[in-house]
Amino acid sequence: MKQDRTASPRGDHAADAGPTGAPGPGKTTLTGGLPPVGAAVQAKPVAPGTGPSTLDSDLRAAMTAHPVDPVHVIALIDAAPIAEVLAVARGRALIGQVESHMGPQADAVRARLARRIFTDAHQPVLAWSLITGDDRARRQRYLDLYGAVAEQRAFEDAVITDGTNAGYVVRALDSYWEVEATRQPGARWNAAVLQAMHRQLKLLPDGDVRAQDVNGRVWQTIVLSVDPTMIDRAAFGGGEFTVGAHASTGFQQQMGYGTKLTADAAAGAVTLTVNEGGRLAIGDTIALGTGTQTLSVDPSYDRATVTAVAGATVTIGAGLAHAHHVDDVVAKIDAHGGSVKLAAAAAASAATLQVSDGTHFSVNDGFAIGTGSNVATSDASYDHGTVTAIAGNVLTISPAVTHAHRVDDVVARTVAVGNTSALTAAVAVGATTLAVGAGTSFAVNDMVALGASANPTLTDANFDWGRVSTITGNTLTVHRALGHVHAAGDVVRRMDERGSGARDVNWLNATVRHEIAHAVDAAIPAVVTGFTIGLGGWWAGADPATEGDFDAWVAAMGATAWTGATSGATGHTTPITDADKAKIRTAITGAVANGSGSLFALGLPAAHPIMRNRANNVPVIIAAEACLSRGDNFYNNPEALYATGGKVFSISNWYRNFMYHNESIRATRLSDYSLYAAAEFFAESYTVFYEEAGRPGVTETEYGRLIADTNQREWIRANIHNRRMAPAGAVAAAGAGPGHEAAPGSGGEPAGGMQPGSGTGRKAHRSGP
Amino acid sequence: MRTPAVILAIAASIIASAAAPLAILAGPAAACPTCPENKSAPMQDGFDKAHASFRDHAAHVLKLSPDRVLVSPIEADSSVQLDQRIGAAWAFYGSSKDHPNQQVRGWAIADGTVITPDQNLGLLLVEAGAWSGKPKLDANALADRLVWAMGMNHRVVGSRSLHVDPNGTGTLSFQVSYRPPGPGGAGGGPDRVSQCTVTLTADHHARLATTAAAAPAAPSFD
Repeated sequence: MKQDRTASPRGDHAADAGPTGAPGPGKTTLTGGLPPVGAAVQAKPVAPGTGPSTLDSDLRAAMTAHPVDPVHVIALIDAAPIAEVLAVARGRALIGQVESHMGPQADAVRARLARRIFTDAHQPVLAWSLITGDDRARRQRYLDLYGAVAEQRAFEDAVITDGTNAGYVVRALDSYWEVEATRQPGARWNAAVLQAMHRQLKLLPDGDVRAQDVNGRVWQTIVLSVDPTMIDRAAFGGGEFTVGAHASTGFQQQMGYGTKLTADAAAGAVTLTVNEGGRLAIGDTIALGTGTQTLSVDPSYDRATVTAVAGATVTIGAGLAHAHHVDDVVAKIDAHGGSVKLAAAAAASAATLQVSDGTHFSVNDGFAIGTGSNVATSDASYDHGTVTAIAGNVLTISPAVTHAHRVDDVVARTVAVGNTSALTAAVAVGATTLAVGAGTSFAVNDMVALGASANPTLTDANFDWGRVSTITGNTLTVHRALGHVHAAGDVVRRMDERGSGARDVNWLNATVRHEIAHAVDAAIPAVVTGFTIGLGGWWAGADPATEGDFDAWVAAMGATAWTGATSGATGHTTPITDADKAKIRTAITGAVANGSGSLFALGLPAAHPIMRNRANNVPVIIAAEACLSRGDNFYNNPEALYATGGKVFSISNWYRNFMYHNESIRATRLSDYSLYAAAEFFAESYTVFYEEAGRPGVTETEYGRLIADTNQREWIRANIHNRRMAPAGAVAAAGAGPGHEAAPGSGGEPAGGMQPGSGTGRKAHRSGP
Repeated sequence: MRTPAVILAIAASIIASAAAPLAILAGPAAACPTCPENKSAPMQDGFDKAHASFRDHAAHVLKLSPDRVLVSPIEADSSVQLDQRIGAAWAFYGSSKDHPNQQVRGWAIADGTVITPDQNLGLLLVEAGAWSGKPKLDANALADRLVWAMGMNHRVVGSRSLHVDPNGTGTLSFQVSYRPPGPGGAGGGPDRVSQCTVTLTADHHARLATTAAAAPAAPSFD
């Protein structure tokens, strides 16, 4: 879809246009003759025989001059004691009077006052109150006079982080990300939601968040919606990032590899009936809990090893400890944790490894090492074993390695179950540090839990958890404050790591990543088709579907498309005629184009070839019915989608088109929604790639490790991540405007007929017509 | 052009639609769609009456004139009956001829009584044998059919249960998940999950109550 772009409401604001600190084009005009921000200004001496002056009195005195000297006024603001600045800022009436005498420099008064209040008094809300407002252009003029882009963003960031005034938060977010914030009538911004979105945005590459194409900025507007179809969700399209007014920071969303029970499983059971046995393999470690919750702190937690898979029946090595129910998630645990590098070469037979950071391992962890970054079992120098002791950055291992390894060879961590260590000192509510008997029982980024016993569960009244952000000796620092008191001797237990396995993730955070992925897609469509078409094999017909699309869809099924189809009365075995195929083509195409439901509810007579072939298992009919009968939820039953010849065939009720994609991506999908459309396949992959961004101890090179499929992971790393768009939150000072990214020739339609860009047709992520 | 808001409104209308004629309770059905080989004039008459009643019902819900509504199946032949048929209750699927994505689903029996999740459910459960001691449909199948009647983009989630006491009172419970159509953020966006409880009474009536499912108590571990 062609994005509808208009000129930036910021006019020629320079935030993205050049190096940080460079004045915007308008700055000279506005500030002409004023002292630069931050310039040393000597305080005005008190005249002998008069009372001590204040900023208030000095400004009033300055107003009596004819003409008023703007340079002097600004110098007074810059030099005044901060208490006097605060007093003037709170009074407001004087500010208006001063501005009225300042001529073209009027905006500098509030800008400089705001700067003093934020930088010297650390009161971002009061400072922002001076410059906030719905007039974006005017607000930006204040900000340009406030300071350099990096300083503006630090100020805006503080207002957002403070969060006490939702109106200020949204305007600060608007300014920080340079997007127009709007809301539909009746909608109210939720500061917590905006804060969470802001935190997540800062963890993504700046050039992705501020992605541009040949027409300019892709993401232009954030819209708070009360549309009933959007009120608790989000979408991106046409430059708008729409957030539902009921969107919550507490929503969870499943991601990762696993399957679901299709029948209850009793305690003691050694077989499980699942909806996709193919998602598991012999030897896999699986976890079950309650519903989508599969963490080891779930009171119904079970962990097992798969010993056999036969269709939808999975056999496990030992009986379940707890009963589980239909639709409970069966997570495929992939407990590979982080990795570090060898800090010194290790000789063959070495029993210790000197690594770059020992806190990334814990005693009892598994480890693996090969050559360079390759730690696969197939590597000629592959070694693996268990960490038995840790002393600083030296790991003692068992067994000793059998191959020699070099400096910088990667040592990967494979996580063991449930290490524990007791508190050596009580912790209070709000604490973020835990003193334990053995810090080496844990590693940075481990999730740890405390509760009523040595095996804490969610049902414990005093349940607490945190993610280890640093380890110093026997002191763990966790990322969140504890909610309960815990006594010395209470056990801190490491929660099982699920790695890339099925897990609940924060929906809002994931959605921010997801929607930014759509912006990236819109910015560099020709590149992204390398993922969607190149890896995914996606093809999509027109919206609405045409009979030509049907023909292409059927042709992709190959020679078996009409297998079993007959003509004549029900029960006859006459191979289907071309005339009857044409009737089926017309009926199915019409159903797709009209967003109809089941083929068998189209009002067709018994004599119609679709009805006559209803029981004949004709691939064309099966493939269409699997989607049409499920409407827009077709992707929620991936196992029901028809596949042949290495392709899965689907129909979008929303985009009203025929689709197919490689069967391999059904097996390796990160979420069911990956199968909704080509654009979602990319967006969900991008979402998971950056899932661990910002987590303690997770390095940039480890991003994407939750994508088990090597091709998908490395494609995103090479083609998206390695564009070297710096993390937004870290590089405001770098003025990281990425420039236009649209690849030459990106406007053309790629082979296969799929639309580039947002990739999903004219409605492109919108909430509806 | 499709209008999701209209679809939602239709779904709501189904739930809120005016009460149908009083239920005609237990007893042998006037016709047996499961026995097409014995198709008889009374059976054809019964189907026609059921079909016409459902068309009127769909027209009412869709706010259309009956002639603008297509009701499927269009004939009594067993080969065209919908899979959601239960005994003598023909399953029907009404849609706007002009906007086929606007749909109403439910059942009707030979005397013209229309059954939806909100009306005359006792008749449907009689056909399912819920009070017979040997139900023809188990909790899964019943839940699937009721959720089918709720409309597009609804699906059953979690465990389902059907329990009928010897005195005839009982409960069918299940959860239904609804996801508005269209893209919705990571994972497609949150589903709206409701707890559905069908209360069965000794006099073979049944009533569906739907409440928002309690949010999971578990904290976020992201």
